[in-house]
Amino acid sequence: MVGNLKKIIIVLAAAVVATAIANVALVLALPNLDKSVATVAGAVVAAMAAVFTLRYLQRKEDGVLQDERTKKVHNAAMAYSWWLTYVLIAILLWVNYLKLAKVELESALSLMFFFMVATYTLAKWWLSSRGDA
Amino acid sequence: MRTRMKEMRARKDLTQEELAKKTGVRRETIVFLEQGKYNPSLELAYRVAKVLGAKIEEVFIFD
Repeated sequence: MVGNLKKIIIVLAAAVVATAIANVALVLALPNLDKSVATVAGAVVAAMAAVFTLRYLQRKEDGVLQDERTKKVHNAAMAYSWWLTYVLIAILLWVNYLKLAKVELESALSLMFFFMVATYTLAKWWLSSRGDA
Repeated sequence: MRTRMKEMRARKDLTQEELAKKTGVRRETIVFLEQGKYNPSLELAYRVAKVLGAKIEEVFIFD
């Protein structure tokens, strides 16, 4: 329990420090930057720092974070996600071409952004539970 | 593919966790191997056989 609390504090601290550094760097490099862009950039940096720190702590604790099986599952899940996204893009192109619906660039990109994450996560879960023998 | 990993591991008095550490993989991978749900690479099969003190063909049996 104390170990988990310590882990959470370290992960949060890493996220806060990384966000602060990223925001200071952004302000210094681009003084006229839109506040919303800086907020989104800060959130992305915080999430990345939290994930990297958590993975580092897990590796330190468990010894092995990824092995040949998990790497294989990861690669296969990425391939499935890529193909499904390719199909989605083809569908969006046809929908737009046949004027079945108006496809805005922003909504199409947002859809693909979440679709790729969702299909990767689902494929990874499915492949992890299935085995390959 | 059949495997005699579980039996050989028990004979060596090793837990799945210990075997995983000695072979450099995650415990879940050892579970999958013992259930015959995962075909290991030649390198992993060699490492497992070495830790269990047996030949690869004694640990993994291709029917």
